[in-house]
Amino acid sequence: MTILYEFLSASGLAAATWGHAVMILIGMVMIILAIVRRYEPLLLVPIGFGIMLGNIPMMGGGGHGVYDEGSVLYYIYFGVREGVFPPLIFLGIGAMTDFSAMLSNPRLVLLGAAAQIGIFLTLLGAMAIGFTPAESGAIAIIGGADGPTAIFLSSKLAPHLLAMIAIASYSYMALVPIIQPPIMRLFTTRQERLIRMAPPRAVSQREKIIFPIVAFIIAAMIAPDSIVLVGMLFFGNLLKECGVTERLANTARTSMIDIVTILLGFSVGASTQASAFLTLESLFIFTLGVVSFCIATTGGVLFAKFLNLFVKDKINPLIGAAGVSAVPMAARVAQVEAHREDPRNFLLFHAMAPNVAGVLGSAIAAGILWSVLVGG
Amino acid sequence: MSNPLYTGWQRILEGQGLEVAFTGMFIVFLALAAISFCIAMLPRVVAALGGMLPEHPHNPTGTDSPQDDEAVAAAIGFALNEKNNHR
Repeated sequence: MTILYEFLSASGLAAATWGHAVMILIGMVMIILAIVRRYEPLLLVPIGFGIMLGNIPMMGGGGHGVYDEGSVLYYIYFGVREGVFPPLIFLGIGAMTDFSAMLSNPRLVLLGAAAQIGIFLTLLGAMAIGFTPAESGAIAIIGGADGPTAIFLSSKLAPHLLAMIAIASYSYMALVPIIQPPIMRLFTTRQERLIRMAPPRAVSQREKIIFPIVAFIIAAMIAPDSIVLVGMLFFGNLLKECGVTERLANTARTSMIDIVTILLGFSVGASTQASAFLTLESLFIFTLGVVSFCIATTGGVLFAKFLNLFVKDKINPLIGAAGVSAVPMAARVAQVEAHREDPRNFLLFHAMAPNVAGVLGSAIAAGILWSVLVGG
Repeated sequence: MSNPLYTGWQRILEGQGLEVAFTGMFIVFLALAAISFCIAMLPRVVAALGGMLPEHPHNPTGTDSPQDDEAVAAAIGFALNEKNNHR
Protein backbone atom coordinates (compact mmCIF):
# COMPACT_ATOMS: atom_id res chain seq x y z
CA MET A 1 0.00 0.00 0.00
CA THR A 2 2.87 2.36 0.86
CA ILE A 3 4.53 1.63 -2.47
CA LEU A 4 1.29 2.37 -4.32
CA TYR A 5 0.88 5.64 -2.40
CA GLU A 6 4.48 6.65 -3.17
CA PHE A 7 3.98 5.78 -6.82
CA LEU A 8 0.80 7.82 -7.05
CA SER A 9 2.30 10.82 -5.26
CA ALA A 10 5.21 10.81 -7.73
CA SER A 11 2.90 10.50 -10.74
CA GLY A 12 1.72 13.27 -13.03
CA LEU A 13 -1.74 13.20 -11.45
CA ALA A 14 -0.44 14.33 -8.07
CA ALA A 15 1.43 17.29 -9.57
CA ALA A 16 -1.32 18.34 -12.00
CA THR A 17 -2.76 21.83 -11.81
CA TRP A 18 -5.67 23.42 -13.67
CA GLY A 19 -3.06 25.10 -15.90
CA HIS A 20 -1.73 21.74 -17.05
CA ALA A 21 -5.27 20.57 -17.76
CA VAL A 22 -6.05 23.66 -19.82
CA MET A 23 -2.85 23.31 -21.84
CA ILE A 24 -3.47 19.63 -22.52
CA LEU A 25 -6.98 20.57 -23.62
CA ILE A 26 -5.55 23.21 -25.98
CA GLY A 27 -3.23 20.58 -27.44
CA MET A 28 -6.16 18.24 -27.97
CA VAL A 29 -8.24 20.97 -29.62
CA MET A 30 -5.40 21.63 -32.07
CA ILE A 31 -5.14 17.96 -32.95
CA ILE A 32 -8.92 17.71 -33.38
CA LEU A 33 -8.98 20.83 -35.58
CA ALA A 34 -6.20 19.34 -37.69
CA ILE A 35 -7.81 15.92 -38.07
CA VAL A 36 -11.48 16.84 -38.27
CA ARG A 37 -11.37 20.26 -39.94
CA ARG A 38 -8.07 19.75 -41.79
CA TYR A 39 -6.69 23.08 -40.50
CA GLU A 40 -2.96 23.00 -41.31
CA PRO A 41 -2.62 19.37 -40.11
CA LEU A 42 1.10 19.18 -40.88
CA LEU A 43 1.66 21.91 -38.30
CA LEU A 44 -1.14 21.54 -35.80
CA VAL A 45 -0.68 17.81 -35.16
CA PRO A 46 3.01 18.12 -34.12
CA ILE A 47 2.35 21.34 -32.20
CA GLY A 48 -0.76 19.96 -30.49
CA PHE A 49 0.99 16.78 -29.43
CA GLY A 50 4.01 18.80 -28.32
CA ILE A 51 1.77 20.96 -26.14
CA MET A 52 0.34 17.87 -24.47
CA LEU A 53 3.81 16.44 -23.93
CA GLY A 54 5.22 19.69 -22.59
CA ASN A 55 2.44 20.01 -20.06
CA ILE A 56 2.54 16.60 -18.44
CA PRO A 57 3.26 17.55 -14.82
CA MET A 58 6.31 16.00 -13.24
CA MET A 59 7.30 16.00 -9.60
CA GLY A 60 10.53 17.94 -9.07
CA GLY A 61 10.71 19.04 -12.68
CA GLY A 62 11.55 15.59 -14.05
CA GLY A 63 14.33 16.95 -16.21
CA HIS A 64 12.75 15.89 -19.52
CA GLY A 65 11.44 19.21 -20.81
CA VAL A 66 12.78 21.51 -23.54
CA TYR A 67 14.24 23.83 -20.90
CA ASP A 68 16.04 21.04 -18.98
CA GLU A 69 19.66 21.02 -20.09
CA GLY A 70 20.78 17.59 -21.21
CA SER A 71 17.31 16.27 -22.05
CA VAL A 72 16.51 15.01 -25.54
CA LEU A 73 13.91 17.72 -26.04
CA TYR A 74 16.45 20.35 -24.98
CA TYR A 75 18.65 19.40 -27.93
CA ILE A 76 15.75 19.25 -30.35
CA TYR A 77 14.60 22.67 -29.14
CA PHE A 78 18.11 24.00 -29.89
CA GLY A 79 17.02 24.36 -33.52
CA VAL A 80 14.19 26.65 -32.46
CA ARG A 81 16.06 28.53 -29.74
CA GLU A 82 19.00 29.36 -31.98
CA GLY A 83 16.92 29.99 -35.09
CA VAL A 84 18.31 27.01 -37.07
CA PHE A 85 15.03 25.45 -38.19
CA PRO A 86 13.35 28.47 -39.85
CA PRO A 87 16.05 29.01 -42.52
CA LEU A 88 15.95 25.29 -43.32
CA ILE A 89 12.20 25.52 -43.77
CA PHE A 90 12.74 28.49 -46.05
CA LEU A 91 15.14 26.37 -48.11
CA GLY A 92 12.38 23.80 -48.54
CA ILE A 93 9.78 26.46 -49.32
CA GLY A 94 12.11 27.92 -51.96
CA ALA A 95 12.54 24.48 -53.50
CA MET A 96 8.78 24.02 -53.80
CA THR A 97 7.79 27.55 -54.81
CA ASP A 98 7.02 28.40 -58.38
CA PHE A 99 7.57 32.12 -58.88
CA SER A 100 5.93 32.09 -62.33
CA ALA A 101 2.87 33.99 -61.10
CA MET A 102 5.07 36.77 -59.78
CA LEU A 103 7.32 36.80 -62.83
CA SER A 104 4.37 37.04 -65.19
CA ASN A 105 2.86 40.05 -63.40
CA PRO A 106 5.51 41.97 -61.46
CA ARG A 107 3.23 44.77 -60.27
CA LEU A 108 1.45 42.26 -58.00
CA VAL A 109 4.66 42.06 -55.96
CA LEU A 110 3.68 45.40 -54.45
CA LEU A 111 0.60 43.83 -52.86
CA GLY A 112 2.95 41.62 -50.88
CA ALA A 113 4.69 44.76 -49.65
CA ALA A 114 1.45 46.55 -48.76
CA ALA A 115 0.27 43.68 -46.58
CA GLN A 116 3.33 44.09 -44.37
CA ILE A 117 1.74 47.23 -42.94
CA GLY A 118 0.11 44.91 -40.41
CA ILE A 119 3.54 44.18 -38.96
CA PHE A 120 4.57 47.79 -38.55
CA LEU A 121 1.25 49.11 -37.19
CA THR A 122 1.12 46.28 -34.68
CA LEU A 123 4.65 47.19 -33.63
CA LEU A 124 3.25 50.55 -32.54
CA GLY A 125 0.27 48.92 -30.81
CA ALA A 126 2.49 46.55 -28.83
CA MET A 127 4.75 49.40 -27.79
CA ALA A 128 1.73 51.42 -26.68
CA ILE A 129 0.50 48.55 -24.51
CA GLY A 130 3.85 48.45 -22.76
CA PHE A 131 5.95 45.77 -24.42
CA THR A 132 9.59 46.68 -24.97
CA PRO A 133 10.58 47.59 -28.55
CA ALA A 134 12.24 44.18 -29.03
CA GLU A 135 9.20 42.32 -27.70
CA SER A 136 6.94 44.51 -29.85
CA GLY A 137 8.92 43.62 -32.97
CA ALA A 138 8.67 39.92 -32.19
CA ILE A 139 4.91 40.17 -31.59
CA ALA A 140 4.32 42.34 -34.66
CA ILE A 141 5.82 39.77 -37.03
CA ILE A 142 2.76 37.57 -36.38
CA GLY A 143 1.08 39.86 -38.94
CA GLY A 144 3.43 38.46 -41.55
CA ALA A 145 1.46 35.21 -41.22
CA ASP A 146 4.63 33.25 -41.63
CA GLY A 147 5.38 30.79 -38.83
CA PRO A 148 9.09 30.19 -39.53
CA THR A 149 9.74 33.93 -39.84
CA ALA A 150 7.90 34.59 -36.57
CA ILE A 151 9.93 31.89 -34.79
CA PHE A 152 13.19 33.15 -36.27
CA LEU A 153 12.60 36.75 -35.24
CA SER A 154 11.25 36.00 -31.77
CA SER A 155 14.23 33.72 -31.08
CA LYS A 156 16.41 36.73 -31.75
CA LEU A 157 14.38 39.53 -30.19
CA ALA A 158 12.28 37.99 -27.42
CA PRO A 159 13.14 34.34 -26.72
CA HIS A 160 10.91 34.33 -23.63
CA LEU A 161 7.86 35.01 -25.83
CA LEU A 162 8.82 32.53 -28.55
CA ALA A 163 6.34 29.81 -27.64
CA MET A 164 3.39 32.18 -27.46
CA ILE A 165 4.32 33.96 -30.69
CA ALA A 166 4.86 30.68 -32.53
CA ILE A 167 1.54 29.25 -31.40
CA ALA A 168 -0.29 32.49 -32.20
CA SER A 169 1.34 32.66 -35.60
CA TYR A 170 0.55 29.07 -36.59
CA SER A 171 -2.95 29.29 -35.14
CA TYR A 172 -3.78 32.34 -37.21
CA MET A 173 -2.23 30.76 -40.30
CA ALA A 174 -4.60 27.85 -39.78
CA LEU A 175 -7.49 30.27 -39.30
CA VAL A 176 -6.88 32.23 -42.51
CA PRO A 177 -10.11 30.87 -44.11
CA ILE A 178 -12.07 32.21 -41.14
CA ILE A 179 -10.31 35.51 -40.43
CA GLN A 180 -9.81 36.86 -43.94
CA PRO A 181 -13.13 36.48 -45.85
CA PRO A 182 -15.18 38.94 -43.75
CA ILE A 183 -12.46 41.59 -44.15
CA MET A 184 -12.18 40.93 -47.87
CA ARG A 185 -15.94 41.34 -48.30
CA LEU A 186 -16.05 44.42 -46.08
CA PHE A 187 -13.52 46.37 -48.13
CA THR A 188 -14.60 45.35 -51.64
CA THR A 189 -17.72 45.89 -53.69
CA ARG A 190 -19.35 43.07 -55.59
CA GLN A 191 -18.27 44.77 -58.79
CA GLU A 192 -14.65 44.61 -57.67
CA ARG A 193 -14.91 40.98 -56.60
CA LEU A 194 -16.16 40.14 -60.09
CA ILE A 195 -13.09 41.55 -61.84
CA ARG A 196 -11.50 38.99 -64.13
CA MET A 197 -7.81 39.49 -64.51
CA ALA A 198 -5.93 39.31 -67.79
CA PRO A 199 -4.32 35.92 -68.45
CA PRO A 200 -0.68 35.79 -67.37
CA ARG A 201 2.15 35.74 -69.90
CA ALA A 202 4.28 32.64 -70.30
CA VAL A 203 7.50 32.71 -68.28
CA SER A 204 10.64 31.21 -69.76
CA GLN A 205 12.91 28.83 -67.90
CA ARG A 206 15.76 31.32 -68.27
CA GLU A 207 13.77 33.94 -66.35
CA LYS A 208 13.08 31.42 -63.61
CA ILE A 209 16.80 30.67 -63.31
CA ILE A 210 17.94 34.28 -63.28
CA PHE A 211 15.22 35.49 -60.91
CA PRO A 212 16.38 33.91 -57.61
CA ILE A 213 19.93 35.16 -58.16
CA VAL A 214 18.94 38.72 -59.00
CA ALA A 215 16.18 38.95 -56.37
CA PHE A 216 18.52 37.62 -53.68
CA ILE A 217 21.17 40.21 -54.46
CA ILE A 218 18.61 43.03 -54.40
CA ALA A 219 16.94 41.91 -51.17
CA ALA A 220 20.25 41.23 -49.44
CA MET A 221 21.74 44.56 -50.49
CA ILE A 222 18.72 46.55 -49.31
CA ALA A 223 18.06 44.57 -46.10
CA PRO A 224 21.26 42.64 -45.26
CA ASP A 225 19.83 41.18 -42.08
CA SER A 226 17.25 39.29 -44.08
CA ILE A 227 19.90 37.21 -45.88
CA VAL A 228 19.48 34.18 -43.66
CA LEU A 229 15.83 33.72 -44.58
CA VAL A 230 15.79 35.30 -48.03
CA GLY A 231 19.08 33.65 -48.96
CA MET A 232 17.81 30.19 -48.10
CA LEU A 233 14.51 30.85 -49.89
CA PHE A 234 16.22 31.84 -53.13
CA PHE A 235 18.90 29.17 -52.82
CA GLY A 236 16.14 26.57 -52.59
CA ASN A 237 14.42 28.11 -55.58
CA LEU A 238 17.62 28.08 -57.63
CA LEU A 239 18.04 24.38 -56.82
CA LYS A 240 14.54 23.84 -58.17
CA GLU A 241 14.81 25.93 -61.31
CA CYS A 242 18.38 25.46 -62.50
CA GLY A 243 17.55 21.96 -63.74
CA VAL A 244 20.82 20.31 -62.72
CA THR A 245 20.21 19.86 -58.98
CA GLU A 246 16.86 18.14 -59.04
CA ARG A 247 17.96 15.62 -56.40
CA LEU A 248 18.90 18.39 -53.96
CA ALA A 249 15.71 20.33 -54.65
CA ASN A 250 13.67 17.20 -54.21
CA THR A 251 15.27 16.43 -50.85
CA ALA A 252 14.85 20.03 -49.69
CA ARG A 253 11.15 20.16 -50.56
CA THR A 254 10.25 16.69 -49.27
CA SER A 255 12.34 14.82 -46.70
CA MET A 256 14.23 17.78 -45.27
CA ILE A 257 11.31 20.17 -44.83
CA ASP A 258 9.21 17.35 -43.39
CA ILE A 259 11.85 16.43 -40.82
CA VAL A 260 12.40 20.05 -39.81
CA THR A 261 8.65 20.68 -39.61
CA ILE A 262 8.20 17.71 -37.30
CA LEU A 263 11.06 18.78 -35.03
CA LEU A 264 10.05 22.44 -35.06
CA GLY A 265 6.35 21.91 -34.50
CA PHE A 266 6.82 19.32 -31.81
CA SER A 267 9.47 21.22 -29.86
CA VAL A 268 7.61 24.54 -30.13
CA GLY A 269 4.53 22.80 -28.77
CA ALA A 270 6.54 21.25 -25.96
CA SER A 271 7.93 24.66 -25.03
CA THR A 272 4.49 26.00 -24.09
CA GLN A 273 4.34 25.50 -20.37
CA ALA A 274 1.22 26.44 -18.49
CA SER A 275 2.97 28.76 -16.02
CA ALA A 276 4.35 30.94 -18.82
CA PHE A 277 1.55 30.46 -21.34
CA LEU A 278 -1.63 31.12 -19.37
CA THR A 279 -0.89 34.74 -18.55
CA LEU A 280 -2.30 38.17 -19.36
CA GLU A 281 0.75 38.75 -21.54
CA SER A 282 -0.29 35.81 -23.75
CA LEU A 283 -3.75 37.27 -24.10
CA PHE A 284 -2.24 40.56 -25.30
CA ILE A 285 0.00 38.70 -27.73
CA PHE A 286 -2.88 36.70 -29.20
CA THR A 287 -5.03 39.84 -29.48
CA LEU A 288 -2.25 41.86 -31.09
CA GLY A 289 -1.57 38.94 -33.42
CA VAL A 290 -5.10 38.81 -34.76
CA VAL A 291 -5.21 42.62 -35.07
CA SER A 292 -1.94 42.49 -36.99
CA PHE A 293 -3.35 39.83 -39.27
CA CYS A 294 -6.52 41.83 -39.94
CA ILE A 295 -4.57 45.02 -40.69
CA ALA A 296 -2.29 43.10 -43.05
CA THR A 297 -5.28 41.69 -44.92
CA THR A 298 -6.89 45.11 -45.12
CA GLY A 299 -3.63 46.69 -46.28
CA GLY A 300 -3.30 44.26 -49.17
CA VAL A 301 -6.91 44.65 -50.29
CA LEU A 302 -6.89 48.45 -50.08
CA PHE A 303 -3.57 48.73 -51.91
CA ALA A 304 -4.96 46.63 -54.76
CA LYS A 305 -7.87 49.09 -54.99
CA PHE A 306 -5.37 51.96 -54.94
CA LEU A 307 -3.36 50.42 -57.79
CA ASN A 308 -6.57 50.06 -59.78
CA LEU A 309 -6.79 53.85 -59.91
CA PHE A 310 -3.71 53.90 -62.15
CA VAL A 311 -3.62 50.67 -64.16
CA LYS A 312 -5.48 49.70 -67.30
CA ASP A 313 -5.69 45.96 -66.60
CA LYS A 314 -7.63 45.96 -63.35
CA ILE A 315 -6.57 43.87 -60.39
CA ASN A 316 -9.18 41.94 -58.46
CA PRO A 317 -8.65 43.39 -54.96
CA LEU A 318 -9.40 40.02 -53.37
CA ILE A 319 -5.89 38.89 -54.27
CA GLY A 320 -4.49 41.71 -52.13
CA ALA A 321 -5.42 39.66 -49.08
CA ALA A 322 -2.99 36.98 -50.24
CA GLY A 323 -0.14 39.39 -49.56
CA VAL A 324 -0.04 38.19 -45.96
CA SER A 325 1.94 35.12 -47.09
CA ALA A 326 0.46 32.01 -45.37
CA VAL A 327 1.27 30.14 -48.58
CA PRO A 328 -0.83 28.81 -50.23
CA MET A 329 -3.82 29.13 -47.90
CA ALA A 330 -4.29 32.89 -48.40
CA ALA A 331 -4.21 32.48 -52.19
CA ARG A 332 -6.80 29.71 -51.93
CA VAL A 333 -9.05 31.95 -49.86
CA ALA A 334 -8.87 34.65 -52.56
CA GLN A 335 -9.81 32.01 -55.14
CA VAL A 336 -12.73 30.75 -53.04
CA GLU A 337 -14.08 34.26 -52.48
CA ALA A 338 -13.85 35.11 -56.18
CA HIS A 339 -15.43 31.79 -57.07
CA ARG A 340 -18.31 32.50 -54.71
CA GLU A 341 -19.22 35.61 -56.76
CA ASP A 342 -18.43 34.18 -60.16
CA PRO A 343 -17.89 30.42 -60.51
CA ARG A 344 -15.97 30.99 -63.73
CA ASN A 345 -13.46 33.44 -62.29
CA PHE A 346 -10.13 31.73 -61.53
CA LEU A 347 -7.85 33.87 -59.43
CA LEU A 348 -5.60 31.26 -57.84
CA PHE A 349 -2.65 31.75 -60.18
CA HIS A 350 -2.83 35.55 -59.84
CA ALA A 351 -3.19 35.33 -56.06
CA MET A 352 0.00 33.28 -55.82
CA ALA A 353 2.00 36.36 -56.88
CA PRO A 354 1.22 38.53 -53.82
CA ASN A 355 1.28 35.37 -51.75
CA VAL A 356 4.93 34.53 -52.48
CA ALA A 357 5.79 38.24 -52.49
CA GLY A 358 4.33 38.31 -48.98
CA VAL A 359 6.78 35.61 -47.90
CA LEU A 360 9.60 37.76 -49.23
CA GLY A 361 8.14 40.91 -47.67
CA SER A 362 7.76 39.38 -44.22
CA ALA A 363 11.31 37.95 -44.35
CA ILE A 364 12.66 41.38 -45.27
CA ALA A 365 10.55 43.00 -42.54
CA ALA A 366 11.94 40.47 -40.05
CA GLY A 367 15.47 41.36 -41.13
CA ILE A 368 14.77 45.05 -40.64
CA LEU A 369 13.20 44.56 -37.20
CA TRP A 370 16.06 42.31 -36.15
CA SER A 371 18.71 44.84 -37.17
CA VAL A 372 16.94 47.81 -35.58
CA LEU A 373 15.45 46.32 -32.43
CA VAL A 374 17.94 43.70 -31.27
CA GLY A 375 18.91 44.49 -27.70
CA GLY A 376 16.02 46.98 -27.44
CA MET B 1 6.16 44.77 -19.53
CA SER B 2 7.71 48.21 -19.11
CA ASN B 3 6.68 51.03 -16.77
CA PRO B 4 2.88 51.41 -16.84
CA LEU B 5 3.09 55.12 -15.91
CA TYR B 6 3.89 56.11 -19.46
CA THR B 7 1.04 56.62 -21.82
CA GLY B 8 0.97 54.52 -24.95
CA TRP B 9 1.95 57.42 -27.14
CA GLN B 10 4.91 58.31 -24.97
CA ARG B 11 6.06 54.71 -25.06
CA ILE B 12 5.92 54.72 -28.85
CA LEU B 13 7.90 57.95 -29.03
CA GLU B 14 10.40 56.76 -26.48
CA GLY B 15 10.95 53.47 -28.30
CA GLN B 16 11.31 55.35 -31.62
CA GLY B 17 8.34 53.32 -32.80
CA LEU B 18 7.25 55.77 -35.48
CA GLU B 19 10.72 55.93 -37.02
CA VAL B 20 11.07 52.15 -37.01
CA ALA B 21 7.60 51.63 -38.49
CA PHE B 22 7.94 54.22 -41.27
CA THR B 23 11.49 53.23 -42.14
CA GLY B 24 10.64 49.54 -42.03
CA MET B 25 7.63 49.94 -44.30
CA PHE B 26 9.67 52.11 -46.67
CA ILE B 27 12.49 49.56 -46.90
CA VAL B 28 10.07 46.67 -47.50
CA PHE B 29 8.40 48.65 -50.29
CA LEU B 30 11.75 49.69 -51.72
CA ALA B 31 13.06 46.12 -51.76
CA LEU B 32 9.94 44.64 -53.33
CA ALA B 33 9.57 47.53 -55.79
CA ALA B 34 13.19 46.97 -56.86
CA ILE B 35 12.51 43.26 -57.29
CA SER B 36 9.33 44.08 -59.21
CA PHE B 37 11.29 46.41 -61.50
CA CYS B 38 13.94 43.77 -62.11
CA ILE B 39 11.28 41.19 -62.91
CA ALA B 40 9.81 43.60 -65.45
CA MET B 41 13.28 43.95 -66.99
CA LEU B 42 14.00 40.20 -66.97
CA PRO B 43 12.63 39.40 -70.45
CA ARG B 44 15.03 41.97 -71.93
CA VAL B 45 17.94 40.61 -69.91
CA VAL B 46 17.10 37.11 -71.05
CA ALA B 47 16.94 38.24 -74.65
CA ALA B 48 20.34 39.92 -74.25
CA LEU B 49 21.90 36.82 -72.70
CA GLY B 50 20.71 34.76 -75.63
CA GLY B 51 21.84 31.14 -75.53
CA MET B 52 23.97 31.39 -72.39
CA LEU B 53 21.34 29.76 -70.21
CA PRO B 54 19.34 26.61 -71.01
CA GLU B 55 15.74 27.18 -72.00
CA HIS B 56 14.85 23.68 -70.89
CA PRO B 57 16.42 22.21 -67.76
CA HIS B 58 18.76 19.29 -68.05
CA ASN B 59 17.34 16.02 -66.91
CA PRO B 60 19.28 15.12 -63.78
CA THR B 61 18.57 11.42 -64.14
CA GLY B 62 20.21 11.53 -67.52
CA THR B 63 18.08 8.74 -68.89
CA ASP B 64 15.79 10.25 -71.44
CA SER B 65 17.85 12.65 -73.52
CA PRO B 66 18.14 11.48 -77.13
CA GLN B 67 21.92 10.99 -76.82
CA ASP B 68 21.53 8.91 -73.68
CA ASP B 69 18.81 6.82 -75.25
CA GLU B 70 21.13 6.04 -78.13
CA ALA B 71 23.93 5.11 -75.75
CA VAL B 72 21.66 2.82 -73.74
CA ALA B 73 20.30 1.22 -76.91
CA ALA B 74 23.83 0.67 -78.17
CA ALA B 75 24.85 -0.92 -74.87
CA ILE B 76 21.82 -3.22 -74.88
CA GLY B 77 22.51 -4.14 -78.50
CA PHE B 78 26.14 -4.87 -77.71
CA ALA B 79 25.19 -7.06 -74.73
CA LEU B 80 22.66 -9.02 -76.79
CA ASN B 81 25.16 -9.44 -79.60
CA GLU B 82 27.78 -10.74 -77.17
CA LYS B 83 25.27 -13.14 -75.67
CA ASN B 84 24.23 -14.47 -79.09
CA ASN B 85 27.87 -14.89 -80.15
CA HIS B 86 28.59 -17.00 -77.10
CA ARG B 87 25.75 -19.43 -77.86
